[in-house]
This record gives sequence, C-alpha cells and structure tokens, in this order.
Amino acid sequence: MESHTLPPGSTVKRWLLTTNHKDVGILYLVTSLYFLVVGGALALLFRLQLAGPNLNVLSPSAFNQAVTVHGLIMVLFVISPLAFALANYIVPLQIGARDLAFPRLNALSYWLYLFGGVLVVISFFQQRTLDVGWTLYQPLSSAFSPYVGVNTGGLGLALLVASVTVSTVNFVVTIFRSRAKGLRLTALPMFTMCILLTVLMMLYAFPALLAGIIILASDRILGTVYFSSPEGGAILWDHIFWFFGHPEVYIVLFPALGVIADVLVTFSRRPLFARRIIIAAMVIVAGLSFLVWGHHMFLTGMHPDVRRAFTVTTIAISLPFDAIILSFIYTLVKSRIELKTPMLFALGSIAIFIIGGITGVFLGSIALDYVLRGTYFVVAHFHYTMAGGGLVGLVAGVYYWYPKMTGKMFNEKLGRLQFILTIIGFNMLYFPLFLSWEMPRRVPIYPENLIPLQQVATVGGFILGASFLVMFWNLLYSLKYGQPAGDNPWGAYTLEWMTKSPPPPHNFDGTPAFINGQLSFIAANGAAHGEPETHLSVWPFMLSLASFLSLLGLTTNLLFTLVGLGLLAFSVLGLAGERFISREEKIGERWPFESVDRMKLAWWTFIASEVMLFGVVLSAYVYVRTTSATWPAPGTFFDIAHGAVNTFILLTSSLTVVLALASARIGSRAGTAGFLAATLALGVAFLFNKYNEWSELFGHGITFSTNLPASTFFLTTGIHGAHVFAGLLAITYLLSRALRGAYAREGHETLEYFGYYWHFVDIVWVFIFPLFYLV
Amino acid sequence: MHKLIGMVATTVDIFNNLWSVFSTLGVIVGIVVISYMVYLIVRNRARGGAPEPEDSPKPGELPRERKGAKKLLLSVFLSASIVISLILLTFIALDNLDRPPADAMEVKVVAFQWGWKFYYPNGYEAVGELRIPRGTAVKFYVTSQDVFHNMGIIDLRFKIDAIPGKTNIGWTRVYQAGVYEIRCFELCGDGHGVMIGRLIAMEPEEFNSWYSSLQAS
Amino acid sequence: MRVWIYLSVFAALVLMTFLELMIFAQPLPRAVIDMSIVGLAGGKALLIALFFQHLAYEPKSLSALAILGIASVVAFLVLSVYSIIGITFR
Repeated sequence: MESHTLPPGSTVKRWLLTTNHKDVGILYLVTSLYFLVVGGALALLFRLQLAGPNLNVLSPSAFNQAVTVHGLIMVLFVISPLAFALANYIVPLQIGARDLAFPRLNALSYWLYLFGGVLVVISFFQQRTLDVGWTLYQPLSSAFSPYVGVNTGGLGLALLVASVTVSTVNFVVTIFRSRAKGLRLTALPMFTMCILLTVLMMLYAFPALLAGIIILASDRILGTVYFSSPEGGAILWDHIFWFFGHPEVYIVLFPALGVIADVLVTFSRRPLFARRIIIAAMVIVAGLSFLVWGHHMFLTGMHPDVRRAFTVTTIAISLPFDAIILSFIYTLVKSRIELKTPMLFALGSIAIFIIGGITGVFLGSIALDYVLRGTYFVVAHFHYTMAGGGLVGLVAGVYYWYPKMTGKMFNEKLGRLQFILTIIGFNMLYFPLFLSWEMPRRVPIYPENLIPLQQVATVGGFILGASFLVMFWNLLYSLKYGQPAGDNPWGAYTLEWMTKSPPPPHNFDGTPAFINGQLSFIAANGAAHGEPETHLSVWPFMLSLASFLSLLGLTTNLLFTLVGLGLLAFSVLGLAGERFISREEKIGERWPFESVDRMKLAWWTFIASEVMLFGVVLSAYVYVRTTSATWPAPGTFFDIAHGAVNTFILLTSSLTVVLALASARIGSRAGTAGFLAATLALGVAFLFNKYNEWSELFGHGITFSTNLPASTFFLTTGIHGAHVFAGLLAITYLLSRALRGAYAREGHETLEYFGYYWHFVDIVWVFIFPLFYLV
Repeated sequence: MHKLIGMVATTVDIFNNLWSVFSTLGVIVGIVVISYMVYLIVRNRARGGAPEPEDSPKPGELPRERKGAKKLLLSVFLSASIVISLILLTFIALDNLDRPPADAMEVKVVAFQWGWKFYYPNGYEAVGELRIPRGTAVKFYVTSQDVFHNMGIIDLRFKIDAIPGKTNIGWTRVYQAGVYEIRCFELCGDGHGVMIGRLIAMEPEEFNSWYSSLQAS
Repeated sequence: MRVWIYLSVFAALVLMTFLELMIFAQPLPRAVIDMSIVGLAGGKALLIALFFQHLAYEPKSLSALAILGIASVVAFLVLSVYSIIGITFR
C-alpha cells in the first residue's frame, strides 16, 4: 500500500494511520459522540439521584464524581471536539484547501484527545476520580483531595490541552495560508470565520488552563504550596481558571454560531443580514471575552474598582451578542424557509440561546448574582447557552453536512422526531432548574417543595437522552440505507458543496479560485505537479500512545512511564525522519501572512501560546508576592551569582544559535556544526549550574514545600529548565544532522525555527532573572 | 421605586425589587423576540411554488452583502438602553449591599468541612446555630478554616464567599422571627449537601436575656 | 551578512545585564531600582525578539500574534493583582 493512497475504510489500518482531514474529522465525530454518551450517562445517573428529595442512588462522593466528570467531559471532550469534527471535515473544503496545513499534527491532535479522554475514564477505576467540580476550586482539589484518580484525571486534561494547542496552531496556519485565490478573510463562509475566531481564542485561553494544571499538578505531586497557602489559594486559582474559563464559553459556542449562520442562509435562501456587522460583533466578543472573567468571582470580595470594571465589560459583551442574534433573526425577513432538519435545529438553538442570553444578563448584574451564585439558576443558564446554543447548534451541523460526509441522505422523519424530542426534553430538563433557583448546585438532596420541578427535569433528561439515540440510529441506518444525496442536496452556495459527496482525498479536481467573485477551477492538481501527497503516518498515533503511557505511569506504575518515554523518543525521531509530502497550493489568498511561510507562521503561533503559558506562571508569582505580607529581600534567599552566571550563559547561547544560522546561510558546514555544538555545551552548562543551585538550596533544607518564595522559585525555574532541556534534545538532533552536512546547503530555515524557540526560552530567563533574584 | 433609592431596609427588599424588574423585562424581551422569530418562520415558510428570493445566494459565489446596518444598530441601541438602565439599578442596589447599617451586630463566621462556627461580640462560640435579635442588622465577618465555602441564607437573599485566609464582610437584617437555613453554595467535598446551619431570629427581649445569660456564665 | 548586528546586540545585552547588577547595588529607593531593572529586562527581551528572532524584518502581522499574547497577559496580571490590593490574607 502506497502512503499517498488511502486503504479502504473497512480496514483498521486506514483509521489508525490516516492523516487526511476528512478521516480525522470522522474520527473526531465518532469519538465526541462516544464521550457524549459517557457524559450523558453520568448526567442521567445524577438525574436519577435527583428524582426524589432524599434518594440513595449515589453516595455523596459518587454524586460529586458524576457531576464533576460530566461537566469536564461535556465541555472539553464533547462539545469542542464535536465542533472540531465538523471543522476538520469542512474548513479545508470551505476554503478550497487540499488538507490542513499539517496533516500529521492534525492526526496527532486527535489521538492526544482520545488518549486524554481514556485517562479521564481510567481515573474512574482508581477508587475516586475528580470529585471537586469541573472548576477544580482550591484548595479543595489540592490539599484536601488526596485521591490518585484526581491526578490521573488531571493528567488527562493536560493531554487534552496538548491536543488543543496542536490543533490551534494547525487551524490558524490553515485558515490564514490555505485559502483559495480570491477568498478574502472577510469573505470566509461563516462557519470557517467562527472557527478562525475560536482557534484564536483557544490560542490565548488554553495556555492559562495549562499553567493552572501544571501548578495544580505540582502542588499535588511535588508538594509546592501555591494553593494551600492563603496568599495564593482559592483566589489565585479562580483568576487563572476563569481567565481560561470565560473565553472557553465562547470557544464552545462560536463554532455552533457559525453552523447556524451557514444553515440559516442555505435554508432561508437569503444572504445573511448585515454580515459584516455580525463579523465585527464576533471579533469584539472574542476580544472582550478575555476581560470579563471576574464576573465568576463577584462574591470573592475583590477590589470594588475591579468588580465595577468586570460588570461593565460583562454587560458590554451582551451587546455584540444582541447584534449577532438579531441579525440571525432578521435574516429570515422576506425569505423562503425550508424547515429541513438542520434548519429546525438551527432555529431551535437560536430560540434556546435567547433564553440563555437573557438569563446571562441577570447573572451579570452583581446584585442579583449575589443571590443566584451557586444555585440551579446558574446551572440552567449555562446549559441554555452551552448545551442549547453550543451542542444543539452543532447537531444542526452534523445533519447539515452528513450528506457531504457520507454521500447519503439521512432520514428526514427521524431527524424531525429527534428535533421534537430534543426541544421537549431540553426544556423539560433545564427550564425547571431556573425555577429551582433557591437550591444550591451539586447537592444530592433537596427540600420536598422542589419535588415536582426536579422530577420533571429528570423525565426531561431521559427524553433528551432518547433524542440522541434517535440521532445515532438515524446516522447509522442512513449510512447503509440512505438515498444517495448528490453533491449539493441543499442548494447551498459555499465551496464545500462544489465537490463530490464524499469528496476525494484531495478534495477538488482542480484548484478552486474565486475570480471576480465567481468560483472556477483553474488547473488540474494532484499528481499533476509533482509527487503525490502522503495521507498515512503511524507516528501521530505512536506519539500519543507514548504520551499516554508516560502520564499513566505517573499514577500507576512507573514502568509505564519508562516505556512511554522510550517510545516517545523513538516516535519523535520517527516523525522527524519520515518523508511526508504535504504541499501548499502555489496560488491562494494569504493576507496578512503572504510573505510568512507556513512553518514560520506555525512556530510563531506556538510561541504565542508559550508567551501565555509563561505569562500566567509569572503573573501567579507576582500575584503571590503582592498578597504576601513578607518576602525575603533579594540576594538573601537565592544566590544572585547563580542567576547572573546563567543569564550570561543563556545570552551567549542565543548568540551562538544566530551565528550557527549565519554560518549555514553562507554554506559553512564547520561553522554551523561548531556553533550548534557551542550552544549545546552552553545549554548543558546552564542546566549544570541550575543543578548545583538546586542542590545547594536542598542542602539548606529549602524544598518545594518550604514556603511560597521557594515554591514559586522552584516551579517557575523548573518549567523554564524543562524548556531548556527540550531545547537541548532538539539541538542534539540538529547537531547530529549538521555534522553530516545538513543545513549548510539547504534547509537552514530549520535553524531559524529552532532559534525562535531557543531565543524565546532566553527571553523568559531575561525576565526570571530580575524578578526572582534582583527585585 | 423609592425603595431602591436609599430607603432599603433588608437584603430581601434589595433583591426582590431588582429581581422583579429584571424578570419582568426578561420575560417580555424573551417572548417578543422568540414570537417575532416564530412569526417570521411561519410567514416565510416555503409553500409549493413560492418563488426564490431575488438575492438568494448562488452556488460558487462569494457571500453577498445584505444591507441592514441601520435597522440592526437601532435594535442594538434599544437593547443597550434597557441593559444600561438595568446596570444603573444594579449599581444603586450594590451600593446599599456594600454599606452595612451602622447599628449592626457583628458576628464572625468560620466555615469548615462541614459546618459553621459563629463567634459573638462577647467571644461566645456556637457551632451550627446562630441566634440573633429580629429587627437588628447583622454584620458577618466570614472566613473558612479549610476549603472554599459559600455561606448562603437563601430566604434572606444573603450570600457570601467563605475563603480560607480571607475575611469577607456582608450583612443582612430579618424582621420576621423564625428559623432560617444557612447552607453552603460552593462544592466543598462529600458533606457539601448536608452543610446546613440554622439562623434563629428571636424576639429582642428573648435574645437579650439569652445573650446576657451567656455573659454571666 | 548580519553578523555584526548579532555581535552588537549581544554586546548590548551583556552590557544591560551588567547595568542591572550595578543598579541593584546602588543606594536608591527600592521602587526606582525595581522599575529600572524590570525596564532593562523588557529592553533586553525586545532586542532579542527584534534581532535574534528577526521580528524587525518580518511583517507586523507576525509580531501581532505575540503582542496579542502579551496584551492578554498584561490584562490578566493587572486585573488579578488589582483585585486583591488592600486585602490582607491570613
């Protein structure tokens, strides 16, 4: 089997090795629906517990575990991945690309996601999984939660964040660099536009979660005291978590808005109302989403100025949403509406979201939030937005693109049946929860006057669950018995419908381009210009498996970790050495990155996420210094000499990296290898000095858990040191190739890309040195 | 409306006034918008040979622009004015919530897994049960000795975070003698659901004799 | 080639580091020392980004990716630290 053709869909090999975006999309779709069943089953479990005021279906601990993992799975492992199932399949088609920019990284994202989910599921079998609420409040989930299952679940989340980071980079580069000629950014189909804004939010939000998880894991496993000290504690976590958490709400929602916008246009046969204003509103929401997180913390007793600022931003963000939803509705004016299943779900989602949005204004009002905080009102509100706006909207997308993905038409009657069940079940489940607004969340018992409301909710929950069974049946049944759908069954106008259903591996016969606003296919592509593209690689799977084993070993048996790390090294080398062809079209619309090739763009996108990671870790340090009444004077706790020596070492190593690059550019093999070797030596010296410094501190009895100055020092410089170590591994690889003459003739860009990383690590140290040693 | 401006006596009043404004407007706006949407759907539903709209997007086109900025901005302006007035009402209410009455009795509350400890001005400590005279405002200094809790007396529309290492201040006032449930509103472990305390509002004379008997002992 | 630029940037970085260490030892008010040292660090970071990572020669859109990140971090830092100013813990 050649790697540029795909094995048939009936083989295991195809699904393990595929890197084609459409296959990966299907994998995401199936997996996210599987986790929907898991998360849904957990929900039904606690709905059963709540079918009576004082039942004993679940123990209090089991109840907390069910509630917690339900939340985490639904938000992180169902809704977003379902959105990215559609995005994987549809975005390249909508922009006229042959695949995502980095097909192997795309497969890697998927497998990391799957294995992250597997870790979370495994944690159920370690006595107790996460039982501390999906928001992981502190110090409950650090000092007060000794269970190993919590660690495993947390590591599962870390794998998911890795997956998200990889796919963020991939989608940013793809949407900026792989658009068909003539497809300007402002002319993107709304789904792709929303995915672009989603990944940009992901780029800056998820590293904060990663920082939080790293600090939390370090508290739990290494014994640092970030969250067990009152100076860090509950409020520091709140800030970090919600700085990620609020953008995450829109990350979950935006793809569904994109689906809804595309579906509305197709089935109402009219252009989107005030499209440019919708786009502007969405950009404003995406930006503002990073400035509203404090409204989750109104009762923590924050500074009045800050509280007022967060109120204003929170209310302000409701206005662009207003514009978006009203535009959707005005789109229907003088239209010709066909109420097919996708349209029903899109309209249903809008109606539900309106209720979620209005109740959101209630919660934005601090004085009301003071009373509604921590109650079922909040639960109802975010289910109306995230489940109603997000999940129900995405279901519209699943039906809408099902004919494109399978070539078959689903059963319309069953689709409508599901719609009716979904709407009835959804509102029976969640509306009574608004009315239960006096009841605290996450509590397995309740007073008798709430029996009717809670019982209606439980019945609604089962109806909602059943509606998804109807959908699964419909999707499976139609796969076999559905009518052939044709290329464009809905008469839609966007590019994904201008190819076969399902599309061939390379998507389009010919290169799509918009000339004077009209689509044409300007040249035959595929094998015509050069070697055929690769669609198979084993390394994404191996790499993910290796990461999974490494992390699993940390909470079970370290043997797994050893095997995992070995496999990891092997897979990285395999990936790096593999011959994999994925070409960028020669022509295309690439504003504003025309002169930035895709590797460079990918590296800078990744660096941006690293900026966030270190930014949040350093902010946490500044935060605890501000809250701490006393802090050792500079020079008394940590030895300035060590810091200064390491500063000069790293600065010099940055110089040797650029000199290696300069040597490669003028074709000097000796210079390239020599300067790389110097960099390696300097990096080793840095770590050696760091080792001495840490040993001295340990020798003085200063450890991770001594106090906050020690904790912050060890963790911050530790994360930085890990980055140096990773860089050294990369240099070793580069050096081994340079010694055989690489880079000096061609490929010196690789050194440039490596330099981005290495200099970034240097920049971080440039801040760590003064902040920890001098200030 | 006068109650919203400076005359407020209890946290219940502050909340109820604001809640009634929000819920009335919320229900009206929700019904109007959703009805309008349903109206458009019913009216524009494709029947038989209804003609395709003139500007319907054609396969292979770039998106068409459809005007409507003015109508949209007008609608947003309308909702902005509603929302801004709601926020002004909120700030007025918040001002009152932030200003505990001067005559308040001061009680320190320490939340723990899973219960409540109360410290009276005279240093008396009670676990699980707080007695207060009705009619007098109570000012709470709330903290936690272990994890993040939230002290809520939902019937009094009162709530405040109990955070280890930090003291938050809140107040309430109750006119009706009786027993009010104090519950935790932040997940705090296995016992979260049963972390229930009692606030007992007593007749002032009764309270005074009880309280002075404490001092005597 | 740009080698002389690299060398002079490196010289500036070393010099600025010495300056940091010198300012640290001066009998100046703490706030002045702290601000100058952190300011110098910012300057060093900028030099590295512009001339070692070559952002000076790239389109501004590329720098924008990192700048948006820095802006988010600043928002996070300012609002989170401001939120607890004047509050005593323990």
